[in-house]
Amino acid sequence: MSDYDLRVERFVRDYLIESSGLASLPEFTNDDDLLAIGAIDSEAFLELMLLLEQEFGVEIDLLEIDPQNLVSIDGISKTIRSVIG
Amino acid sequence: MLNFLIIGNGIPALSVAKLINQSAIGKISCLLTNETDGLLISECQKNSIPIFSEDSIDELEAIMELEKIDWLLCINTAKIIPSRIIKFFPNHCLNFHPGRLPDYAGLHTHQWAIRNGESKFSVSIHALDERIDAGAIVAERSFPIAPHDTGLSLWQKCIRNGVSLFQEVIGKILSGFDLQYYPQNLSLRRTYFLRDSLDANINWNLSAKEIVDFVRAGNYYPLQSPTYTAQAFLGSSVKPITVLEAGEVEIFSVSNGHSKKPGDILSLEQLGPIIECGYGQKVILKKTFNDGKLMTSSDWSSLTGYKYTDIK
Repeated sequence: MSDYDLRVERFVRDYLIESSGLASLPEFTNDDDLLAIGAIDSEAFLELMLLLEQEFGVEIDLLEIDPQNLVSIDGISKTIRSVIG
Repeated sequence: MLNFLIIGNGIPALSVAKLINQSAIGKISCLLTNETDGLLISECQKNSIPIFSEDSIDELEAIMELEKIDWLLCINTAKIIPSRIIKFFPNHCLNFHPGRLPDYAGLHTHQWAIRNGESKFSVSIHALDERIDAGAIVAERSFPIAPHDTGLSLWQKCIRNGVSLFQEVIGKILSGFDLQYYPQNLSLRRTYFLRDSLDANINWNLSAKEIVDFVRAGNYYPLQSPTYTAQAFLGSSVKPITVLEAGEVEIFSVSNGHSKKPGDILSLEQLGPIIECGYGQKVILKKTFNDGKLMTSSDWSSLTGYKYTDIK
């Protein structure tokens, strides 16, 4: 796993902790579907995308990117890497 | 010091709250929100801002001294503000509307813009008055609707543009800039209500383009649409088939010459079935789900009894 992937993972997990108000998160893997396991809802998904844009200086355009590729931490890392090019 | 009262939710309210909290001359006196946890709550807790539920608006005078508030900001909220509260803040009560005014007032208007075949849309910030989304416009920002925009992708554009537009307006207020108010031409007003947006069934009497637009406006996949996701009963399906993507069929010839009525399946292609719609036009359903499972051409084959390109 690259430093970049680790940074994305840390950012997403920190977001999930802060947005859930929990001290720690239930265990899940980086390829789990965050919507399916209930870690985020629709509002939180869009909020997370905007925060990722600000944090990583990229545009995550849901017209160009299949949102299905953004529902797991691995998918988000891969997408951000491909947007940066 | 300028005192703000924020009624709002989500990242639009969070971004405005952060801007005010960072400024030397702005202060959030109180937040009314539907949220119980999340970034907006922690931002306000961090800055010792009192937080109440949105329903507290009905007893706002008991919570705080309204005379001490300079601006009331409504950001990403569907809460109706009582007129007695609005009267406390003449021209100092702003609302973010994720839609173009005056012709797209009300709820979920971005989905209606797609359904209506618009190629451009806007978000607006306007003064609140007693009528919904009818106050003078303070700022607006336009952006294109792409031919393949979905309800979800257009909503993302609305939020992204709305966040930066509201930040711009708050920046002006904090800099002491006098806002300009442009009254709406209310003869052009059209208001959309939630009840108008809930019927998910595809009306096959519409034109092919209208059906394609109806389908993409309802597409929030993989998220939950706030209104409808297009659906249809086709073949032997006993449950509705969910339709996420459809396309106009430009060239199609029926070999047996039998007349078909809107809603009839004409053939089965690898992408999905071709359906007769209004005005003799045809659509192809490209991305469909049955019982939560993405349908393949063989699923369609067993549902309809058709084989690929088997025109009946």
